[in-house]
Amino acid sequence: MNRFVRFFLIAILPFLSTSAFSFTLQPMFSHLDPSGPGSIKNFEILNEGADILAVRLLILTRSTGPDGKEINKDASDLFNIYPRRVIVEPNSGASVKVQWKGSTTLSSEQSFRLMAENISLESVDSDSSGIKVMFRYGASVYVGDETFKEELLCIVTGGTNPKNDKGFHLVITNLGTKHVIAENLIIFVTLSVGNELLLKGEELKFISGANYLPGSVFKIFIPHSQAEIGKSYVSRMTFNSEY
Amino acid sequence: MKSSFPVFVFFLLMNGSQFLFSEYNLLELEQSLADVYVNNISGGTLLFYLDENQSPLIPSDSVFLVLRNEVKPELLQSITREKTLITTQDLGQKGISLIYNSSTLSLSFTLSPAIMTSQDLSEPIKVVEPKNGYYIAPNIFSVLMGTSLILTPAYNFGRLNEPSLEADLNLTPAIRIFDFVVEGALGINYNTTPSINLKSILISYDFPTIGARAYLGTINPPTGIFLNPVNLVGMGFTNGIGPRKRIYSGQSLVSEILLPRPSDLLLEINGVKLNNFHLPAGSYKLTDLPLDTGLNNLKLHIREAGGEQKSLDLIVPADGKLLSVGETEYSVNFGWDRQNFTKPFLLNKFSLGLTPFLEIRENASTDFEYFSSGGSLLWASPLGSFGITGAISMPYTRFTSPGFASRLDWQLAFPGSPLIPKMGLSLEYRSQIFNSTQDPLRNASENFNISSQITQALPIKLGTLGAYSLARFFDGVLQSSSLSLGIFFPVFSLGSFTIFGGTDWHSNRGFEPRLSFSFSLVQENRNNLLYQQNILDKNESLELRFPLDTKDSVNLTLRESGILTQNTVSRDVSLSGNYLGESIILSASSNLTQSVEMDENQVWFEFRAASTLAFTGGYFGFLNGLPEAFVFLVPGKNLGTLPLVFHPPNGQEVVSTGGKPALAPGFQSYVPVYARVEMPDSLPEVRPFPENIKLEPTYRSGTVVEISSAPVQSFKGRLIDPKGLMVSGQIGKVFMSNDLLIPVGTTFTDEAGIFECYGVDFGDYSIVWSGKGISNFSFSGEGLSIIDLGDLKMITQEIGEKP
Repeated sequence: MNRFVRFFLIAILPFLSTSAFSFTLQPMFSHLDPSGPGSIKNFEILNEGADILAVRLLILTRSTGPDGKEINKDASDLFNIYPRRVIVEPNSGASVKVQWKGSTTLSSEQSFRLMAENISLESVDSDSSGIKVMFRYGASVYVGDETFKEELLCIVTGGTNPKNDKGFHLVITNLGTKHVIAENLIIFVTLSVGNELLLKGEELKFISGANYLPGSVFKIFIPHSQAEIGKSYVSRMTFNSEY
Repeated sequence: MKSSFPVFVFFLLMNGSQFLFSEYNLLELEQSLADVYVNNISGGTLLFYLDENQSPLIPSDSVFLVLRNEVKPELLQSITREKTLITTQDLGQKGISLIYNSSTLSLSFTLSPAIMTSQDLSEPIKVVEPKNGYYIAPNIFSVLMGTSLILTPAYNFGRLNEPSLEADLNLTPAIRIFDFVVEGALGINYNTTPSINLKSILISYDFPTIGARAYLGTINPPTGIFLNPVNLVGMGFTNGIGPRKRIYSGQSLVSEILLPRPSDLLLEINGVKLNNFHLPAGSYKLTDLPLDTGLNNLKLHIREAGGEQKSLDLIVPADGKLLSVGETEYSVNFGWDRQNFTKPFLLNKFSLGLTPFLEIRENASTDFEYFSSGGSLLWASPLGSFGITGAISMPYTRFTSPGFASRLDWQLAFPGSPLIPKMGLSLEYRSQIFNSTQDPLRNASENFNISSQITQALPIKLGTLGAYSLARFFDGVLQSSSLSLGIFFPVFSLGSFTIFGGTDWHSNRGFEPRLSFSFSLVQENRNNLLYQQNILDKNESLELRFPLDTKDSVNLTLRESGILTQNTVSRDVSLSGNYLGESIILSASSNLTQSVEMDENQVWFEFRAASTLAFTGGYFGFLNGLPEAFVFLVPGKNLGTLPLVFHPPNGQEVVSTGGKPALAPGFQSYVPVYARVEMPDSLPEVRPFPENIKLEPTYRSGTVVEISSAPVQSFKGRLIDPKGLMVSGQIGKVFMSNDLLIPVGTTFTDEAGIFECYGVDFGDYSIVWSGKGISNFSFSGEGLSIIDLGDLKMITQEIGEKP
């Protein structure tokens, strides 16, 4: 982050209205069945602040680009959200139901974001001051059945980056039908027979703990002096699965 | 071991600290006066021993504070002498069992660590209060009828060779009509002949605004310093109803924790991580959390979902809770002794919080022979807690002399300082034991007792070391002394091991050494095995507990104890099973008692069933205990058979299925309840009404919450001003045009001026906007789809402007 922007944010932080941060959306992770009673889930919005809160709910598709960045599109035609807008009094709560109304037969798990965004209201209290920061929560919503399984594949090749540094190109793909969060990821790269290189920790900080949605592809370059340009390496990976 | 004196055990149960004793004639045994020792001080298992000495000691440490909150005097008084195994209903539910062994004069309290770190947060603790909650008042008439039936067939072999059968039916009705409550306890016993015993009857009237209660009937008023309890027929007035507003005192000024996310809380006591529990997001007062752990070092680890772990050191001096500044507790009682109805008594008690760390207490009582009064001061200081107590007794007649008693207590603890042990010192002086309705013989001479205790949490979680000493003087002469050393240490996370030993010295018997060890195996937060062996006098006991389901509502317990001395060989074996259902408690046990000395073997069985009938508003159901208040969740006819889920903040989710009413137990009177109702299997737009419920239960009351279906129609539109420009950021209150007093909904406009409103009927409406404008419209349609009103004009009108 730009140093100036960071300084600016720190400087204005004390003046921000805290009410924007005082609501929660629960649960932050939810799994829906394609059909039956499990296709409906309840979410809670709690306003723990002192101001009245206006919240609008949106449902978005969720996929990831090769750089891991999340891509969202409107998915309101796939869900019934009721109510889609709520007013929540201070120290109060509201419940929102979300129902999947898409296909009842899915070939793989579908991933979505349920966004709860705080809508700016005209200040009734003329004495109130400070910059109003609107806040949004994005809960993870997955639709699928229990038969779906994740399957991560890692392909390692030697190469260079635009700066001409030698290193490994890693391509990690979830070939399975279910998302997985790969915690404590370790990649073993066989440099030669009996000579295995471990990539872990700081080297993999951008992909360890990442959420691998079904079909998603992560690409990363790891500078390393032992990499041979153009060589394909045998590799394997270990991680702790979380969902 | 038998004498003509009753056993008195000095417990600290009645709204007081350990400096103010209330004495309970626990068992009414024909045995000598007893003291209570605590030989295990940190979680897991607690053993209390009774001996023949005549003065109370301060029971040290954690569990007494826990018990003070958990055990009610009436529960203790309900303990009967006949059985070795005593597990009252309420105690059993909370994981406590009381074991009294008359042959060894030992009384064991077995607690699972879960007691100290209760997983069942039965107290309503969620602070989030819905302002738009639908208020429901308790019904004016409700009945609770507690019933327990105990059947005990037995057979004696050897000297007697005869069968016997005993049956006990205990009824505890509580009837609330308007604001009056009539409650009582009736016992019907059949042994060789039937007998009926009216144990108590009381009429009470509450004044919730001042937290007070007036009552008339059989009463057991809190008594003063060193004064035995009195059982009266009379009347009284107290402000001791509802939740107390005591603060969490000590050096830690933290009184509330805020959990922005659902969090796991882990309690660490004396360096030992005991248990954890889960809390939803919210703000929690520490006084509402189960954190009373006495003098033990308490650390609270808080881990938010997806967040980092935070730790909070809490300091709990001897009395964990003092009255807040200006707060009072008082009671005044007047009546006659229940035995003979000849002696009038007048008693009062008063406590006042002076500062957050200082509290004063006063009590006085009088009858025709004595006036006695006492006062005490409690100070939670940086050097630990101090208690100073004094009492005088002035006779009205010249045949008896005045009495004087005083007591000084000091408990020192530096939580977070592993090198400084916790220390306690108690000095007690009595020139005369005061008069009593139950013990007229206690009226002699001078007693002086001094006791001290030191406990130290060992490094690297090795456990806790404790030392305890006592000396008693009678008329200036040393009568007895005692020195005890013990070590308690956890065995990984499996259980705990305790070695406890020492020596007693009596003026007439000399030195008597003691040594025992015990092992407690804890599995999944429940005591599954407890073994104790007294090495020198060959006493031993073993307890095995087998939970048969994950919720521990069904379990089997095997207990065995034996005494092998030169004069006595006896052995008790029992196998018992318990079922804790939602509406009933069932237990059965078989017991075998062998006494070589008495040439007697007895086999007996006990079958116990207990339940409470709850009735109000034409609905009835059964509970497994007599609650303070209850709620019926009644689905309306338009809901059909859709299941309803009632989410009270105590976490006891109640489900109504098939359109049938469901009973929600376990509400504390005068604690507001904010509950949410859900219809989990309904379509999203089908919602319950009311959805948020607020109620304030009164004592022994029942509330009927009727749930129907909310309207399902919705509308949306775009708000424009008279010039046709979009209006954003407005809050609108939605009224039906024929009722402009109560809004039927609220809405708002977003950055595009779009608004939506859900859960309203078709009809004519007015929306009053926060920007001092109004919109009028009507909507109608078919089906459940949201009706689009298109552009809706906001009519603005300045104050004073003519229309």
